Amino acid sequence: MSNHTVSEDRVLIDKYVNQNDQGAFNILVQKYSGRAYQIAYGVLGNKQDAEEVAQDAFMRIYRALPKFRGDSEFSTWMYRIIVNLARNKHRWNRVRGAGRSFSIDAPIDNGRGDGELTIELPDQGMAPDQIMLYNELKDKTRKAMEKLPEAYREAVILRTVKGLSYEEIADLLGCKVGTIKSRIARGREEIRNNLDI
Amino acid sequence: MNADQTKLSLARCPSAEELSIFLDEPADSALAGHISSCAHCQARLSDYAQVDCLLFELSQPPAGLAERIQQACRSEAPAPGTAALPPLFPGWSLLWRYAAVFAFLFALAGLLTWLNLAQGKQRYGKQLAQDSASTQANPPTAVTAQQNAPAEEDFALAEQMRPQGNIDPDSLQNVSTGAGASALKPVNHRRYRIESQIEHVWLVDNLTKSQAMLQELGLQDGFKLKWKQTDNADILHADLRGSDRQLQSLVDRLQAQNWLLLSPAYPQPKAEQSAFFTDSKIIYHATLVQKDAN
Repeated sequence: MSNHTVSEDRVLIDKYVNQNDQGAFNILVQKYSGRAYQIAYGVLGNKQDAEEVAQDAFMRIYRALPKFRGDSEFSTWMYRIIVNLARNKHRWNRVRGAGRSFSIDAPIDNGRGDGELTIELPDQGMAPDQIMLYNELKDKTRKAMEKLPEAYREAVILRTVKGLSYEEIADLLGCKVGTIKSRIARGREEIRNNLDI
Repeated sequence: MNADQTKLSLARCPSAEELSIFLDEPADSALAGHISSCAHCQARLSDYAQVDCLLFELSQPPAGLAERIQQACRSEAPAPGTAALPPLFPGWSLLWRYAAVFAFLFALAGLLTWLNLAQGKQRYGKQLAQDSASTQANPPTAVTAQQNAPAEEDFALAEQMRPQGNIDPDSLQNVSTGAGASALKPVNHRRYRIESQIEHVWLVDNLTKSQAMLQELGLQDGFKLKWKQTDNADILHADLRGSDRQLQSLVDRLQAQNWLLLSPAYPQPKAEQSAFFTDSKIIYHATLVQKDAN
């Protein structure tokens, strides 16, 4: 997290808290809602639950932001709220035995490879059979995510999707760095085995 | 690469965790050197990278998420400055939380109502038992025919319908009939409905005069009446048949004659306001007890 981003967040928070500037809060939502969703998705493995948790988290932040003391960065504070809410939701789902539902006809997203990876991601020009194979792979990945233990899943998502460092993940989840490294490795390995790639 | 070289290469392959760490932090040059020459590790690393890409794809937030969150915050959250309350039901949506709270309150109200009813019923049971015990006397030995007396079968039926139970025949000996005698107050203060059979014990100054008085008032109120004498000269039993409304009137009039009602069973004198009359037929077992001379 760059210093520029941190200071920008503080300015937005000040505007919202001291001047009741709703626009400043909206910018924070624009900036962090996607990340909040991704973290929640990492814990829950379910899109609908993830959106619900992201929304719930921001409503809490909206109410509690005036009491945010700034001891930590806003993003760290937000991540903690998200992780806690998502974990609560996950436990509740487990106790309740809620069935997970995944959309098998989800829209196909464009590839987002950053160039460092040598994976060919599907693009708009994919042949129909390639699209079908890719969708199957995504569906398998969803199922593999669902099977993954919560501790592995959240660590893997925070690393692979959010790009947080091991230290940041360890701090956020309250674990040792070595534990996080191990969980990420096991998570990747289990998904790989389930995908049979 | 021959078989021996492959075995040697695999024997030196890093663990899954080392490969995973290398994917995130490719700083280990020795490991990089191994991977560059090991097809097995390259494939595995490529698989991990593919997993990461797929996870990234799956985790993309849906379109319009930020707008929906902003709208939810505007519409449902209170003004800034209000601290967030701890979650009552973690993981529940707001709607379900409210539903749960309402359901809890509704169940609580139902429980309280039920407890209140049960308590009232218990009180009434005690009251009935007390009333029955206090009115039981020796069995009747003689019947005096009266003017306009109801048919015999009516009272035979009434006798069959008389409340049964463990009634102590000598219980009336425990009733104070002296100067300190006082009426028992009914416990249940809710609007009551008069039962089909009521037993009352009255303390009277003069048994003979009181018998004539009850005869007269009872007939005036339209009761059918039958007397029963007992072995005890100080006690008289009367069975009256009429309606609940008539009985309330009779009880009021008896008390106006300075009779003292010892039984707490309804109807009580001047308690018409709290009674619920249905003009249903009732059988009234009245026991008249002579006050002590002292």
